[in-house]
Amino acid sequence: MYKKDFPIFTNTKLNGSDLVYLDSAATTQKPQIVINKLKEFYENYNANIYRGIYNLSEEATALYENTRSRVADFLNVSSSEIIFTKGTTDGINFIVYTYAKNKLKKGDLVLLTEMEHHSNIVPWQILSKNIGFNIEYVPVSKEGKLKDLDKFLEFKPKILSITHVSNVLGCVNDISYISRLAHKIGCTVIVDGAQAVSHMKIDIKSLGCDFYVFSAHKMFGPTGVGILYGKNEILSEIDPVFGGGEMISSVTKEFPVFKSSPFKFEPGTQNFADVSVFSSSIDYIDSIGIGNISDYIKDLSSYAVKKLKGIKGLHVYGEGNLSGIISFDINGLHSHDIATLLNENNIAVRAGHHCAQILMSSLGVSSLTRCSLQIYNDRSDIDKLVYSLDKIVNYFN
Amino acid sequence: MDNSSLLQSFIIEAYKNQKNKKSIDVYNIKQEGENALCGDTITFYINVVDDVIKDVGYDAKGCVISQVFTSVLSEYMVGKNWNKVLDEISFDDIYNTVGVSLSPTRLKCAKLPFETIKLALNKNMGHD
Ligand SMILES: Cc1ncc(COP(=O)(O)O)c(C=O)c1O
Repeated sequence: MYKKDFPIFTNTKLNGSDLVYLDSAATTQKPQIVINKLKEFYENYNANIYRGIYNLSEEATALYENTRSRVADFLNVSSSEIIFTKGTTDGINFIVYTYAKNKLKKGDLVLLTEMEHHSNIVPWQILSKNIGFNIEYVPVSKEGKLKDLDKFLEFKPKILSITHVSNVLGCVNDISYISRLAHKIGCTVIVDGAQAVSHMKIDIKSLGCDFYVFSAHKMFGPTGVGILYGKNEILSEIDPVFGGGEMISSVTKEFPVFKSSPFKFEPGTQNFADVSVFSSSIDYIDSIGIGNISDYIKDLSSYAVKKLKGIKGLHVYGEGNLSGIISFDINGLHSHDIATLLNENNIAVRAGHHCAQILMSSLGVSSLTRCSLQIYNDRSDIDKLVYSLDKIVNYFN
Repeated sequence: MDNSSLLQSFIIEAYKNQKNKKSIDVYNIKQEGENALCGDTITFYINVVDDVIKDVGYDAKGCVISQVFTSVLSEYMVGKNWNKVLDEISFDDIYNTVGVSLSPTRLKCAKLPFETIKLALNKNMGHD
């Protein structure tokens, strides 16, 4: 029903087959209104923001700041708590160097989970090599439940950094509950929302976390834009690590006076065109309704799981999670062969370790095939996937 | 399916009938190779007598592409001069024999057996 909003589905064919795009967890396709907005920006509003005392620059600034307030409303927070980054990875690295680096000492503990994406592991490992803090990983069940989180919190970690939704198992962590537990012992909670924002209502006030990061490109928006939410109390206390133009109120030969948050964290020319365009992705989501998107994806996921399980030798990981991310393997077949064969029918899935090697080894697998669903997918996409998989399995048996 | 498909009969047949996917008791060259991206691994066991390859066995885990290319290369190798084994056949020759068309990522899988033999050759320079 929503496929027609996305021109890529009319524009791309492979050997005459329509595109069946089942890799939205990697990046979503873009609706026409977002694409139009990008063209419109460069044709009508392009000027560097903040600096010009002329109409065009004022207009571009207004569009950029409009996105900030749209995002703030979308998350139920205030604009001063929204910092633009390049993406989730950039946001986590920002927190690691701007916040955690000063907070952590040798011997401290940072708590992660086994289901984290590499972007929420590697930055911590790099910093830990410099500072000497410890990292522990909360174990995860095969279905994606955290095990013994309360026991790990007894070790009094300074920071817990955790994904909202797993990009492999599709399980949803109960962030409100986790934040309450962690805050009782004074532990800061950082949440990777990359796989949550496009299909779940995110109310940061009720989640209660201290930081929340995600990428625009995974929610119908342009690449190169990320959102970092940080609590005002924290952002106002910390100094920027990167300096440059437009983030200071005055510069002398001694030390500069920084602007307030979020401006002190956005030095130099920002990706203002893509940020400005990003508001139209939120418009698009609002036009459907985030609740309707959730319901649609849940329904389609349960259809997909049911159908996939009918294939001989196929095993779904985290089948009860139903949040649009379905990873599976098939006895005797390598995920890269499955993906290559599906591609022959213009079906795009992800194969490999999904930047989650710690989870893979805890699940005891070296690679999985993942199909991830979005609003533009429908039952016919699933039927085509299942038809092709059936054929593949038959060929090899 | 056209003949560039991974499902063409040559590949399926070659995959199902890997003659040299076996352990051999007598060998004097053992070489492991790995493609970290896919997790493909191969171990070649090669018996060379008077410079001539008498027997090849291998153990391979991983995708169809890496296994089929390993199988085809191993069959070709038997009876050849070990030191010159890769002078007489190129990767392109085998690629054409198999006849599948591969994307750059999948080419790495196909090249794994060649890279593994190259490793062994470099180690065994001067083998008698
Ligand atoms: C759970 C999760 N975290 C982080 C990321 C990284 O996002 P980006 O590559 O946009 O920085 C991804 C993307 O695949 C993800 O799925």
